Amino acid sequence: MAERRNKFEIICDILSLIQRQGKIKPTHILYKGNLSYDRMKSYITELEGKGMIQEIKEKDKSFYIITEKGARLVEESKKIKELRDAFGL
Amino acid sequence: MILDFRGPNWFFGADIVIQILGLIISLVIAYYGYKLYKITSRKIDLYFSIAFALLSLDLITYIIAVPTVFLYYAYYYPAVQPGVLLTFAQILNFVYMFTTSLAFIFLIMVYSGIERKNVIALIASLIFALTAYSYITRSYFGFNLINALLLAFIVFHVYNNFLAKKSKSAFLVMVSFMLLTISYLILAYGFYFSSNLAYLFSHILQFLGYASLLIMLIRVKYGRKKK
Repeated sequence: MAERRNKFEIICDILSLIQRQGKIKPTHILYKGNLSYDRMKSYITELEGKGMIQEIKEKDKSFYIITEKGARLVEESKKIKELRDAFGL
Repeated sequence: MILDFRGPNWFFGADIVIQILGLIISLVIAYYGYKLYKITSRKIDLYFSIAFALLSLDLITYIIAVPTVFLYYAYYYPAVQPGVLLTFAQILNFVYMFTTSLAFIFLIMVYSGIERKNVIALIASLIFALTAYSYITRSYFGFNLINALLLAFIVFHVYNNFLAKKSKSAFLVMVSFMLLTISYLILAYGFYFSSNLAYLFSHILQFLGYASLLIMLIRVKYGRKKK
């Protein structure tokens, strides 16, 4: 059985997903990110608040795109993950 | 501890170089820890970053205090009593001892997962009382022994982490904390028996401990080599 992802891993997964797709609908984050609606909503709110993703509207439909700050985090996430694992955080 | 140098004379000042290495490593880890906290907003990650920031502060005080004591004894002793430089070094010594213990308390909070404020306050008070007692009585044996015990608790956790992760980075962290624990034990022995050799060995072990963390950081920065 796969190990449960922690908050850091979920955040990195969401950001990587948005970066790969370019722009993505919230429902796609929901099933591609393997999250419940409530959890997805709380993560999206948090990431938006931290300026890592941004909501855009196209033809009355809502999409999310990654910001420069979010993209930088994706790049650095491997280093941070290695350090976190090394210390057992 | 800073004011009670027990190493061989030729080693005086060489320990600063070791602490500068430790300072750079601590600052880098504190920086990454803070980045992790900014992403997760977890208290544990913040405590981890604070622990290494405090270790950086204690190493800065060490780096400043040792030349201060040297200057005092080289140029002013015993002309100025009590010397301003010596008072300055005593304040730095005080800061050094408390920030060291506080840093280890934060690391213990990280690894034990304790978030209840009253439990944290109780542990912190007990350790502070012991550190204060060590400072007042100038019992550097006691101070180093307390730190060795605090570090031993951390070693237990990083050892379990290594068993779970089986990664080289986790191994290097475990080795580093083990070496630092042994170095504090040897330092305690050195102060108790006034052994120059013990002081020297403890600093060599400290250097190896820092080097282990440095290798781990290089691995983190540049990634693992592909086979």
